[in-house]
Amino acid sequence: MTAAHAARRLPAPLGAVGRRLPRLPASIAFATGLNLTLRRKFPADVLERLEGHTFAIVVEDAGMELLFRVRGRRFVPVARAAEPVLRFRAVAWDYAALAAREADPDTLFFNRRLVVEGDTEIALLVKNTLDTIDIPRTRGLLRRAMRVVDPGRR
Amino acid sequence: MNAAVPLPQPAARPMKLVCPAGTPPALRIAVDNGADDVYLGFKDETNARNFAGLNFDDKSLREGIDYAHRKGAQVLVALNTYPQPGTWRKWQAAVDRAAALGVDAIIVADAGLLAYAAKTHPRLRLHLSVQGSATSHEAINFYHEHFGIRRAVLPRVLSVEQAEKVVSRTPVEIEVFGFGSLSIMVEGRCALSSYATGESPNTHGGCSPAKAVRWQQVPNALESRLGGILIDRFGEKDNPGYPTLCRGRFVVNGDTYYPFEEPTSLNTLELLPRLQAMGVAAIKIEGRQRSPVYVETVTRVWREALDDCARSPERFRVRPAWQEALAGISEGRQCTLGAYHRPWK
Repeated sequence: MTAAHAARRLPAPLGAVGRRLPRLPASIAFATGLNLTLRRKFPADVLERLEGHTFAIVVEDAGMELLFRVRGRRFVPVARAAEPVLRFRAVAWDYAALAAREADPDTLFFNRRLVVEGDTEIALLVKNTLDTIDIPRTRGLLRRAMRVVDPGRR
Repeated sequence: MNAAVPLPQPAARPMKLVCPAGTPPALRIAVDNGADDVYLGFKDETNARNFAGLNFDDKSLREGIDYAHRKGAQVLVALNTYPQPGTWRKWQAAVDRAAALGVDAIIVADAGLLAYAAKTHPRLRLHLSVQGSATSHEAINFYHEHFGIRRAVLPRVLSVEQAEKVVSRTPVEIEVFGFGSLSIMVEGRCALSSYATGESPNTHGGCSPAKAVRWQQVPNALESRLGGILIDRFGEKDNPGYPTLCRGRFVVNGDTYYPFEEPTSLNTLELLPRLQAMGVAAIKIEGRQRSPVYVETVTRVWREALDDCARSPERFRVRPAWQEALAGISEGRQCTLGAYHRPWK
């Protein structure tokens, strides 16, 4: 996929509900998912570099902000952060496409569909590290799920 | 030196596809989608894409070479920055590492390093990097005679007619850029970003080192800064480009525009039959800093295009689907023929 494919947005009522939900449970679920799928694949030197930093993933159409910190080489959920080292903003569909390796992050960035705020050096390290990681089963599941939602995809 | 070298290049030989890999998944995807050669770098300033988390260590390079060779592709290592008096040994060691790991060629810019490689590893194939900035057949033949280079990458400053003259007057294989982000002209000699960052791309391996880059959201705009210098301010509907000085938008004599270069991508698909007929040996795709998705898209399109061109150059047509796919991953979402096309010439 390229950015030429339009992003699908979640129905507006879902975003309205999301904005009213407490942040922590979603962050716990997200950090748990990261630990299960990615933690062992992250090179030790990269986790060391990220140690102590807090990250925010804003899912714009879901009205959610997921917050986690790297601590003791694990992803740990946090309830709030004054100034995360990085804050990503995109819609759920584009995050899924990135995770499934069906969208190019630079293209989404050029097209203003992925906004990255904060430390550029860490952003680049995270992006390039994610590009080195192979999680074929998780990516296969995501791709199948995306085709169920949008059967017109190749 | 004898400048009048005969012309051994047979015309209309299929051109090789040379694809970028910043990571092991990108290498495998390039090979799986039909790259003939994959080029990459080590995790340090010996290459011009020295970014955190990118590139190969010995283990991943060894595995990458095995994978490529099993599928009939070749691996080229870019050692295309310039060693300094105090750092020479690091570049020298990189040549030795590449040779010991069994790479198919190294892509080198520095004449001293070429001399070292030719003397120490006489069986190692040498390519002259675009950073070597050799724009004439005399320069390329000099490198051939003195260091035995087998291929040269032409800088993106020549028109098609000029490139044709070079190809016809050298025994060295010529590789030209086919697609990707453009760089400031006078390749290999650009020191622009060192004014903003204190680091030259030719010695440190990056013209926008991440530690010097700041993206900042301001009311109604996104600003990019390099070493504190405002590179560009993008409105809500603008597409940001890479934050390098050469792609900056500046005020010059009261006008705001891109005085060096617009943030566009080179795309030479429509020139393929002519490049093949003139005897170009290989087409290079830029983008070691890009993701595996970019590599997959661009390799698939260019493999199909090169195969179409090799089968029937006279009937070759650029397919709209190719252009659409490439436009979707281009910097600036605009494509140009760059210096190949010079209407004023």
